[in-house]
Amino acid sequence: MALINQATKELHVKIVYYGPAKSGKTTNLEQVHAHVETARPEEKGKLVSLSTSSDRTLFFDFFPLEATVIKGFTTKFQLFTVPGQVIYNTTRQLVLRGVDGIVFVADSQYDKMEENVESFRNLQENLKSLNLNLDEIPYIIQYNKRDLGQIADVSFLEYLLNNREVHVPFYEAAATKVEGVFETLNGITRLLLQKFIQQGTRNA
Amino acid sequence: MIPRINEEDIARFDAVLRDLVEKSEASVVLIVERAGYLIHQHGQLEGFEPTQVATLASNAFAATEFMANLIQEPDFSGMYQQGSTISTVTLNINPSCLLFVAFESRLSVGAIKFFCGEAVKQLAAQLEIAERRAPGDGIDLSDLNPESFQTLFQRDPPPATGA
Repeated sequence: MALINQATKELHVKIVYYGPAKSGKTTNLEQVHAHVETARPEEKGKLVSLSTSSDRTLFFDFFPLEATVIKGFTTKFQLFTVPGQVIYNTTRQLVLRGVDGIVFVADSQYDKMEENVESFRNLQENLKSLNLNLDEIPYIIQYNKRDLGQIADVSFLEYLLNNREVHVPFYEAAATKVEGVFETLNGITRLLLQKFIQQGTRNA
Repeated sequence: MIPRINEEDIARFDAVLRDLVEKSEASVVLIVERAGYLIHQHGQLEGFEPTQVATLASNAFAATEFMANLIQEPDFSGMYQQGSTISTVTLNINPSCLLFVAFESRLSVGAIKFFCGEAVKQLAAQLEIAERRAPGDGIDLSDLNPESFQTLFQRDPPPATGA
């Protein structure tokens, strides 16, 4: 859950990029880190990657990003990825703890459909193991790798992955070309902040 | 769930951490929320980046707790990493927070843990006070315009190409 520090006027929010192996989760974070416009570049946080010797995510990637958006409160977004490989399910559960918002990064290539569906199902199961419910967590879907050949139509991806009771926003992306990366990040932050506004209005 | 933290809480956290650093001679102490948020810190260490360390410590601690479950150990209350110059201890404060301590390896880990014991009790007590506090001090967001953060993060302009 988000942490509100009224003494230091900070709101901390955790966003997790989830999805099958090699769908582009780490690439999203790398591109945000490399290209995000900041008022003070020297204060841009480091991208921490806990990866294997072959550059596959072992534990998580992490990048802190901040912006002032809420009445003087500095909002600190903590961006995480999870390892996509099936064997690292325990690690995915650990990284999901305390999550506020989720970006599901799907691989648009036809031969990855089964992995996309399995990863989405795995996300719901892992949230359930943490007593969380996807219906109560803001999330969006990114259809990545739109620049490659042999990709599925967005309508087919929507049919497979965005078929729940509430239709969530989706974004097409080619993360290696920084296309759709910032649209995705802004999409999830917008959803999260709208949720906080609703809660804040109720609490105030 | 982490409570809302206000000035009173931070003042108390600061006093406890300051006292801990003085008594134990630890270099840096952090209060870390279990999702990885840094709540408060005291002390200094060259090249130390508290935000990153807080996240890594909380996830490492979570991993050891998961191991504890697998071997049916109900109480992994702390984690110790011994280094050649700097060592660290991460201790459980309560279900929502951890205490992270970095200290010179010449110091006794037993002494560090001894001093941390009292600090953990005091921090847990303050967190309990925060949890019990009436939730009347929420942030009033009702007049915030959602349109104002449509594009919160922008891509930097691409570098100009030479003629």
